Order: sequence, then C-alpha cells, then structure tokens
Amino acid sequence: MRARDEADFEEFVVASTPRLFRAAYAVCGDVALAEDAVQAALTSACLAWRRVRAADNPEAYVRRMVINQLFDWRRRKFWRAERVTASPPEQQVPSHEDGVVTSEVVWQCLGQLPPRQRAVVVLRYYEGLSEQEIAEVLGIRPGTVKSQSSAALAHLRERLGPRESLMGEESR
Amino acid sequence: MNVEELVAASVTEWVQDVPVPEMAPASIRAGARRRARRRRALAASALAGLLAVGGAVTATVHGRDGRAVGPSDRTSGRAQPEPGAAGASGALPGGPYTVAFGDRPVSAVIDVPPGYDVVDGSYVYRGTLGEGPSLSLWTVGAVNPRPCQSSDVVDPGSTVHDLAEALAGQALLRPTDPAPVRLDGYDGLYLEQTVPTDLRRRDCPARREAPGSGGAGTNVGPAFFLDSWQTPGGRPDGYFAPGQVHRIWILDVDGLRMVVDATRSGAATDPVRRQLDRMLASLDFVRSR
Repeated sequence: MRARDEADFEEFVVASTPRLFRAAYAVCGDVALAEDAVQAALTSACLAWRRVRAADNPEAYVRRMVINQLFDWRRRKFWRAERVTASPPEQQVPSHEDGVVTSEVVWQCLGQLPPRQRAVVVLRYYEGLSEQEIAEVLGIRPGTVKSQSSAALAHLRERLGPRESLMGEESR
Repeated sequence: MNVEELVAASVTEWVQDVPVPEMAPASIRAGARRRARRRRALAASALAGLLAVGGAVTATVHGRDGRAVGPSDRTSGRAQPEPGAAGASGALPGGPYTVAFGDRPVSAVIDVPPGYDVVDGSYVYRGTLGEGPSLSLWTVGAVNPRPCQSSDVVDPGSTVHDLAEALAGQALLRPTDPAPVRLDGYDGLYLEQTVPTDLRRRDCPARREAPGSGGAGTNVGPAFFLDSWQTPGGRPDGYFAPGQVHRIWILDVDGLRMVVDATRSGAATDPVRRQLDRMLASLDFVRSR
C-alpha cells in the first residue's frame, strides 16, 4: 500500500469504525462478534483499498462487508449457540400492564428474533436502508426482506404490547 | 410511538452506550499483510502441486487448508471439463479459494458461496455444468473468430486491447463494444457476449457435444462447446448455452493478461446474479512470488 493510500485508509478507519461497530453490534448484539466482524471487514478493505475507495460510498461498501462477515460461515455457530446472559429476557420483558417500554426491553426483544429478522429490522429502522438495499446486503430477495420485517415487527408488537412508549433514561 | 420508531430510538440509545473498540490502522494493515502472505503460501502450494503432477493444466483451486479440490487427474493432458463429474463430486463448502495459473506468478482468491463446485481447477460453477452460473479465470492464447462455424483459432495478439478486439469480433456471440473497466484495482476492458436464444445445435457444425448433452439436433438441454478461445496450452473454453450471458473482464494484472468470465443464463434470478457479483467483488489477484 502506498503512503497516500495508507493515509486515506487510516483516515477512513478512524472516521468510520464507530459507525461500523455500532451497526454490527446492533445487528448481532454481541460486542466481541461485532468487533471481530469489523476487524475482518477492515482487513479485507485494506487488501482491496483501491476498489473500496473507488466505490460511490466506501463506508456503505465496508458496512456491507461487515454484515457479510457477521453471517460468514466462520461465525454461523455463534448464531446457533445459546448465549449466557446475566439477566434472561423472560425476566426483563415487562408484562403489558407495566405500560412503558424501555430501550433495554426493546433490545432484549430484538435479541429474541432469529438472526436475519433482527438484521432486517436493524438495517431498516436503525440504519435506514431501503428494502432493496437490505436485500443486497443480506443476499436475499426484496420480498423476503418484506416478509422477514413483517414477522419481526409482529413478534415485537406481541412482546411489547399495545403501549409502545419509550420512557428513556428515567425508566432504567 | 409505533414499534418501528421504538426500534429506531431504542437501538440508537442502546448502542450509543457501548464503548467502541479501538481499531488501530497499523494493526489492521499488519493483519492484511499476514492474510496476503497466507494467500501467497496457498498459491505457492497450488503451484507446487501442479508442478508435481507435470503442469498439464492451466490452473487449480486450493481450499483453506491448501488441499486441492479440483480434479486430481491432471497428468494425461485431459483438458476438458467433465460434465459427468458435475454434481457428483459434491459442492464445496463456502469460503475463500485460491486459483493459480500454472507457472504464472499471479493467483486469484475468490470467496466462493456454499453450494458451488469446481471443475478443471479454475471453473467455479453451481447447478448443471455449463448451464448454471459460473465464474472462471483464464489466460487466453488463441481466439476462434467464427465460433460455431469453425474450430480454427488465431493469435489475438498480446495486449488487453488485442484480445478485447478479437472477442468483440465474434459476431455470433453478439458482443458489446469493449469498455474501460477496473477490477480489483487492475485496469482493463470489459465486454459482454450473449449466446442467441435461438441458436440450434444444427446451426453449429463446428460444435463439440458435451458428454450426455442429448446429441445433435436437440435444441434444448445442456450446453455444448463453441470453442470461443483457448489457453496458451490449447485448452478450449467452457460451455456455451443458448441465452447465456458471458460478462468478460480482460485485465492487465501486473503485466499479465488475465480474463475473468462471469457467466449466467439469461433467466438467472436476482440471488444468482448477486452471488456472482459477490464472487466478483471478492476477487483478489495476488502476486504468488
């Protein structure tokens, strides 16, 4: 890598890592896996930096690499594995009578979704991608994106109940 | 607040609280160098394997552990893909594979999706050999100006432009005009060839039937050979089927002329097209020595 490319790449890493990591973490819900995926994607980006830099939106290009890394064969066992948490979701999701929903509760409900449903929801409503863009990122059909999104939202509505209000910090 | 807004607000709030790990660019570059070295080592082992069996073919594909996954019988000069082996050998597990070009000092690494297979070392495909999607890599030494009508080949010249012009002259395959392109950072020319959907076997006196293709006169079914081009060693290209679209990149990779052929049927679905695009996007040429 030439000196100018190195400087460009370094600037890119510094500027984009927080957003890439947060996107990865939002999709998978695991800090270590998100970090691993971002690191692997940035390594690939470094190897093909000329191509990445030439993309219309290099960060979107690398974000796609990050998401692909998350679903990469080497990390599939993560999605299948039981994950130990300090507080099982069943104890945290409030009954409908509680009347309020905190971000923590929503986060835990997202964690109960199948991996691709969670990815679709996060990419759609957190990252703001279109259904077409999500389909391209995940390598699935736009119709599948729509059905996965519908299923995920139905699950969330069921779990969160009719009073979908966010209480914020005071409810923590 | 509806559930969609709730998700957006909650995820935003939740992820903001998570400390972002430090990603040191120097460390990433070091990791990239290590990965490149591993790839070169894989390519070198592929080259060593080829030399050990006489170097009779142009390329081979090695898996992550360096184990050859292409056909093992490479010593007899048998250069044709083997349709009978398609599917029977089983699909490759997904992952990166190295394609080495004989004694050329360049190899290529491709992330192959699960479900694809490889034949003749450099021809990665899925489904029915010759009809399903494929990504193949070539060094081209001769071009047939009149595929289908003749088996005679000519020297296309040594430059990227020479070869692009020669392929653009294959009128039967409805070529597009070559256009400048860049792939994996390497400049070259790009064109597409589309096999006419109404091409009949009997219209191609110079065709060679693929084994098990259904025989002469059949207008549908497995593809047949049109001998569009040959490697410097005389190995002809793969299959052509009516309606098939060949996207062809001719690249100057550090002074070596490389050809990448991404082929799909005219009716390929969007996921198939995306799989090919992802393989192309993953393509990484590596100096092997």
